[in-house]
Amino acid sequence: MIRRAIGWWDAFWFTPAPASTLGACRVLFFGSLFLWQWHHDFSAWGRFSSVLWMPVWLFDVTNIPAFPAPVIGVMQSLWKASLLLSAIGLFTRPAMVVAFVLGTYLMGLPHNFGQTQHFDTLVVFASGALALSRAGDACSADALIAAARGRAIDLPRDDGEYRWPIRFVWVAMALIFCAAGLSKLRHSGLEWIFSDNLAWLLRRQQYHISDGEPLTRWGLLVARHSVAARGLALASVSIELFYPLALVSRRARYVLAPAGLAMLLGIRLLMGPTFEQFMMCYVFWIPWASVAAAVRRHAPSGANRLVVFDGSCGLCTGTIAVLRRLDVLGRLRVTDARTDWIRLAAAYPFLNLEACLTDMQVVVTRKNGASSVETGFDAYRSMAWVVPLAWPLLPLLYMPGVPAVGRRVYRFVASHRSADTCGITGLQDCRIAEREGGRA
Amino acid sequence: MSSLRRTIVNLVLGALIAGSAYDIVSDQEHWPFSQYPMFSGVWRSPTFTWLRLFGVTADGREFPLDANRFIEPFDQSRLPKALRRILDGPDGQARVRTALADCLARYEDLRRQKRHDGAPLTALRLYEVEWTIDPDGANIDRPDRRAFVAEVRP
Repeated sequence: MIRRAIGWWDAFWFTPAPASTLGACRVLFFGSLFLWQWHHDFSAWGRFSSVLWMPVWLFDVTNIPAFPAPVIGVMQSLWKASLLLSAIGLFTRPAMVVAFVLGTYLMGLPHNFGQTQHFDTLVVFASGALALSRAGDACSADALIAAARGRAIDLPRDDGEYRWPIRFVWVAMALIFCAAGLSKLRHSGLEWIFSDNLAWLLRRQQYHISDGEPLTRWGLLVARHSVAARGLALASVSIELFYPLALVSRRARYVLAPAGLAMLLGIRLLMGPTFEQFMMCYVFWIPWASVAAAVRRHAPSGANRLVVFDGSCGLCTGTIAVLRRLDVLGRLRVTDARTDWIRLAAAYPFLNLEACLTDMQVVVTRKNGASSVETGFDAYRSMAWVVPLAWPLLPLLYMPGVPAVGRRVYRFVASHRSADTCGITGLQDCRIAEREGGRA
Repeated sequence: MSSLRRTIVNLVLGALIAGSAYDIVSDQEHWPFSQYPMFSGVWRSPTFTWLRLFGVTADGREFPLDANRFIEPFDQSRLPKALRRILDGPDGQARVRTALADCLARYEDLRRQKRHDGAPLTALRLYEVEWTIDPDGANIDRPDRRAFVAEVRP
């Protein structure tokens, strides 16, 4: 029995999962939090008298005060910078630790001034889980840099490390919803549902008494119809109480996760309380790797691109490792000209081995079967068409003058490569290449 | 995943569940853990009271500071509840005047920064206002009753 429970626990938290899903969650969570918090100024909390300071548990036991406004100002600048770095995945681990520590202080600070609100506890929990996670292994600048430097040539394998932080947020969210439902039943019983309670609440919230104004006056319309108000109350409590089922049942997940999000939207529209930050945590419910796979299956295929590179050159293999991480649409195929030349020469007789070992080549095969070869800068520009992250650069790459400069830059890099830019295995080949005039 | 790391992660997972369960069972709050009691009380009465700040202009006119932009970073939920807790505590009247002085200074700061378009104030008053809830919300600006609580001047 205990062994079975342990097995269930391990399977729930640590079943291998793709790194890209957690990486995408990190990007979207910290990115949206950064944008949301950009205009928020916490420093004003440092200007109030001690009579308004009523510390919540965490601040009380740790004896952390409201720092002076300039100190809070510096802290929030660091926090926002750490949110941005966490989102783009640069210095990811330290950035996420800073985001968690400073975020806990800054988001907790307002609750020490008279009222504890509950829209940001999940953000604190999610930040904590990510700070402890390996969320920077994919979809991050760190991963691209590591790939370019040859430290992480292969894409990360599925691992339990990429499962538990997501499940952590799920469980935290389920506990919050369920606790809210239990609180209602504990303090009010079924009267919370089967009385005019919600109708009165919806009307009362129009009187400028919330942390945010209701976005609409639809609450008054609902309140006019007792059945509608009671139905809404029943639906709300049901969603809250049964939310933990979403953790264990895929079918329940498909119903309860969107229902919970709809409830939060409904609260914002009808009653006012601002749960936007809580809503950001819904990015953890979406299986981003599966979404990307579905996009790959259904997106128009267009022309295929076969990238031919010199696998014995460290710079080339680093570039290919970066391209593989950026190729979220799966439109690039890569092949090593050295190890795969016989097959390549048979399939594409117009390719030339020496050219392939000198410059990056991309064979573009269109739907009608016609093929063409792009080289150097033009090869990179061709690949930019199928790499979404490069799409914003496409107009620039076609601006008059840019291709000429790009080709020169490419040639400069190719001819000035030193042994340092090559991987150990390709060192000798690169030196040979340098003697022969350089290649990319 | 090393066994040490797995142990640490398991401890963190256990802390989340145990901390949350404790607050839920004991009906207490230890932020960021909570029993999430928001809106859990049942509402039966058609009337309610609320503390509200009113600004007083140079010509003696009063207007309610019923938008968050006048009292940021506070809001219309947190500030009245904070003031209520102060009033209900020891030496409430004196302490609430200190708090109101902060609010007045903050209002003027925000006004000077053009974060709101409110008039310059000669005084800030705190009232307890009472409404009979109107089904159409037609009396939001006309409470049934208001009782003076405190006043501060710059």
